[in-house]
Amino acid sequence: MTPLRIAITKGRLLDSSIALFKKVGIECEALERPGRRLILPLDGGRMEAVLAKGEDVVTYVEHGVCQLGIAGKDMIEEHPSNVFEVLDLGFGKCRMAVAGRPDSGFFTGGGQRRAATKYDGIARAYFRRENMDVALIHISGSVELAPLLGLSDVIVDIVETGDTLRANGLEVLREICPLSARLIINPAAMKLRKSELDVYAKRLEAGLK
Amino acid sequence: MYTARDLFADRRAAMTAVERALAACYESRGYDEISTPILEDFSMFSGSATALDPKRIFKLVDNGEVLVIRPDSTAPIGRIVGTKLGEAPLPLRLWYNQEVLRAGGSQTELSQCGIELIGAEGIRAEIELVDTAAGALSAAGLSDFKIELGHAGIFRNLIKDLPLSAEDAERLRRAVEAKNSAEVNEVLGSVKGFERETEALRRLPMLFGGAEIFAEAEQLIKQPAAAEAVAFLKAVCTALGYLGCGDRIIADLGLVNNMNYYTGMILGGYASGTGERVLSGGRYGGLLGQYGKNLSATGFAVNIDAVCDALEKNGAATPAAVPDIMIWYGARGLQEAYETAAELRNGGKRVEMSTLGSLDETVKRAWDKGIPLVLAVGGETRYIETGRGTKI
Repeated sequence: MTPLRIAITKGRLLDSSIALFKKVGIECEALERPGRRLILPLDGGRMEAVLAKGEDVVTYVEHGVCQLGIAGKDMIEEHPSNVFEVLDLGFGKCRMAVAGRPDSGFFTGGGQRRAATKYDGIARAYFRRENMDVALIHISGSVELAPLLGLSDVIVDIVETGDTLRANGLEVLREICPLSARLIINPAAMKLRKSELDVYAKRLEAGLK
Repeated sequence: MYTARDLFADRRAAMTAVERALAACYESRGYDEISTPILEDFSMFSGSATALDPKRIFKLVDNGEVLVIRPDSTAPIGRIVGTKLGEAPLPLRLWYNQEVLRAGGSQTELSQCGIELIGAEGIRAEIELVDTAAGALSAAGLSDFKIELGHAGIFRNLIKDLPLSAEDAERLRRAVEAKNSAEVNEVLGSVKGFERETEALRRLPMLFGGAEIFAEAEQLIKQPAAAEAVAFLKAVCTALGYLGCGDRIIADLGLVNNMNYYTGMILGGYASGTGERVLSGGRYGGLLGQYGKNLSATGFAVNIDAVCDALEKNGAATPAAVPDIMIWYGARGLQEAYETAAELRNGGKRVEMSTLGSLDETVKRAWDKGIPLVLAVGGETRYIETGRGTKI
């Protein structure tokens, strides 16, 4: 049997993942010094880790080339898939929010409204739920610029501390949902390799307490 | 944007091999082949007659009538049974092998080869269905696969009396589907009372595995109709254990896909080498009602593409065949060449006739195509080994 493969979101979620692995005794030396390698040994070679961008983590797990993944809830919501979302890992906590100038009148005005976002799917679903007609403008970099340049009335984005917003005269107008890192599992793998996956899921869960 | 699906060479050969193996499997169990039109009336795919999201259906208009390009085989088969096979003795056993088209996904065209068992109810029908599913996947060449079984009656009955809005009920269903226990707990947090139901629902995502899960399930699921569904599922699993395919079966009481469509047991198949389901189906009841027939049916479709992905990953896909021999004939060899070719073909060989002018060119072309042997007739009859492939 090939080793189980886990896709891990690079950046902050990787640091927290490493801390969790260490806490529960999953050997992860290679993750701390990945170098240029894309597939790294984990847990003494019993597993393999793939480091990827969040949205790719969901894709790899969805297609089953990685059986497990650690991804932000934002990525799971933005890229609807049939993956199992078995554990809230508790780290990477932040929230998805609508932010804008305090006086934007975004939620009270009736005219044509625009929101800039990286998260078109989440934003579209939210405004539909709220029965609001909002034109979405897709931005892939610093979304906060859009209202400053007059491109949009608000932004829909992840908010952690709110420092960036405040520094640019923006604030959270509405919270959409809380976010954190999740352990996701491919449904086929869950059925074919249940006992192995159970072991890891239980070990990680034990580390959260 | 459409994903091209031009099928040729090894992929086409692998698909054909799987389709033939499935056809033989279904035929040997008394199923009759049926095929349905490419275009159907849109109205057929509304309500509980299909599990499909209408957005996934290609529509077109002819003379003001809204038509669809076949998005699924079950509803059209239901139409045929409802309108044309009313007098046929039940149960009906039908199998099909045809493409269905789905809009808006990563793959537009899907090859599905499956069965419908119509007008048979009770555990005997379910056992036959699962045994046929296991037989089909084995016949297709898969060795490492599992079949999951669930029951639509479990979740449906557990939430029936709960004071949940439609939105929260759907949120709960999705959370159970994603095995997201945290979210299940969150949705149920607002429900006061109904401990019997909520305790069971909280554990539902984790209630999957071998026969051992039924002990816990029986303890937890006390709502009568849901408990009845659990008992039914357990009986099916026990029976399959007697048939020797118990280790292939996983019970998953948290299977809640297409809850508006399925009315009884649900099944899905997974094989190592693909993250996609290789098989899916279940019992449905609403389909034949629109034709005034109170018939329940069950069935499944094998996803030929996913099966071939799994076979290819495991090096078990049937490759495109290379001819065993190429025959070249000289000026006086025409008759002998065709007679010899016919004899060889009768003996099961694949024989290709050379259309080239010279023997040298023929040998070179045979080598290019990986054909191991050339036979030259007309003048001196002789075999020439090209040095490729296996010898005969």
